[in-house]
Amino acid sequence: MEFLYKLNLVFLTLSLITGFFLSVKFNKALLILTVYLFGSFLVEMFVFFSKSSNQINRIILIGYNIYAIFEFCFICWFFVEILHGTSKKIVRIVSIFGLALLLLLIYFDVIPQQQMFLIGILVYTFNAILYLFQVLNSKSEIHHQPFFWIATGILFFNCGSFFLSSFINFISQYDLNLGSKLFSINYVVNIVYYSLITYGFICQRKLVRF
Amino acid sequence: MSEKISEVLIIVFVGTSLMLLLVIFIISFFLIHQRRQQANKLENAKLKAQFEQEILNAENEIKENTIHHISQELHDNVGQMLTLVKIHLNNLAEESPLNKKVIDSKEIVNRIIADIRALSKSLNSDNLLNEGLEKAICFELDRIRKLGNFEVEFLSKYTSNKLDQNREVLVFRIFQELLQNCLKHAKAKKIHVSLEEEGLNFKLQMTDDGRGFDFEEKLSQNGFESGSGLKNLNHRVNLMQGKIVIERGSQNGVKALLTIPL
Repeated sequence: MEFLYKLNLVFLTLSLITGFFLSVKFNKALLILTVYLFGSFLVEMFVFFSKSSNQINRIILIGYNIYAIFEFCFICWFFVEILHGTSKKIVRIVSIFGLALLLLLIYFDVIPQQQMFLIGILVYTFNAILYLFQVLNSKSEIHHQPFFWIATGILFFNCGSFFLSSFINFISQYDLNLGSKLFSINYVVNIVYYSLITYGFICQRKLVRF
Repeated sequence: MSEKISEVLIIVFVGTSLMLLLVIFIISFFLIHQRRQQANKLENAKLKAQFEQEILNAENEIKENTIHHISQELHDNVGQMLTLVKIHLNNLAEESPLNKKVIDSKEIVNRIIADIRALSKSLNSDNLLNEGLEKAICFELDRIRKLGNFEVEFLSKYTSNKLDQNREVLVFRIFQELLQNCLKHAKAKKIHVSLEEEGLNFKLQMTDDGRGFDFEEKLSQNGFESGSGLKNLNHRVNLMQGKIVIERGSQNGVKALLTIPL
């Protein structure tokens, strides 16, 4: 459990380093993703060190909620950048509604973490599927496209953590230990997610080189 | 309560597994679909290229036939008539050996007959290439040298004769087109031609000291100003999957380099 958590942090750091150093010529969408990774890295590091120094859990929870809005904005912005035509407009509208919903949740409930993550999951999955349909008929080979792998990672992570995010609070209420054990599913999909983002950055470098 | 927890656990595990399987299935579908699409496109491109190659072959065959026909007409028809004129002039010369006009006319007709023969030979690829590409180019250059207005150099390091007869004809026609450009448009005085083999490639290089021209610009022009000869030349090069680079020479004029895979 602890091992998977640390491995998850290692993969996050790795994708951030790849984003910073390997992608020689960034395009805007990848730059947005790198900033998002940097934000995730800061939050995770804060949580990691405050855990070891026994900081208050409530602050961490509020921090995660603020991070959820940050994550939502950046991932939606990323999709707005990589989509074209009608899909771009749809993603814009969905993102604005999603953001409004998140802000409303924060306004009415101080710690609405579960609902926020579920809204995020639905919006990201929808965006990723829209992007995949866009690239389906593209002329270039999609397995060389950085955004394809990143969208795959986003889809994989969000689909993989949907059921867990839906029930984790319920399970933790009855058995906190079981809840934290179940959370290892989240670490595994997170590791795959960061690996695919890293691969996306590597693909971008290959594209720039050739 | 523990029953409810175990139900939720089952939902989480089964649901997550199904979702992940679904994602894997979707991504695999996308990858396989795209790969098939790419393969399809590649196949279509191949067929199109093959079709274009066949059209080019047919076009070239028609051109060669026409040139062959003109060459035969020159040799058999025009040549015969000029020979007749020459006989008549000989008769006239015998009747009045001091008539200067007849003597001059005889000389002119002789020159015309020689030129027509040379032209006919140069147009007829069968005759010309019986002795090989090197000799054919040499003959053509000799014809130009005899005009007296040009300084011609020829250097050949092509000894293996690996080009088949069809490709030799095409190379020879390309050479003729380049030579025509030198004579007609470039106003060149010096022409240098070289043949060589480099690795798995055959190379023909022609340089002149004329005024030069922009190959790409000429090729992109349409209408009467267009370089139709250059377009033919390009067609012929494509037929052999070769490459031609025409650029300004080191000092003046044009440097043309034809490369063909052997």
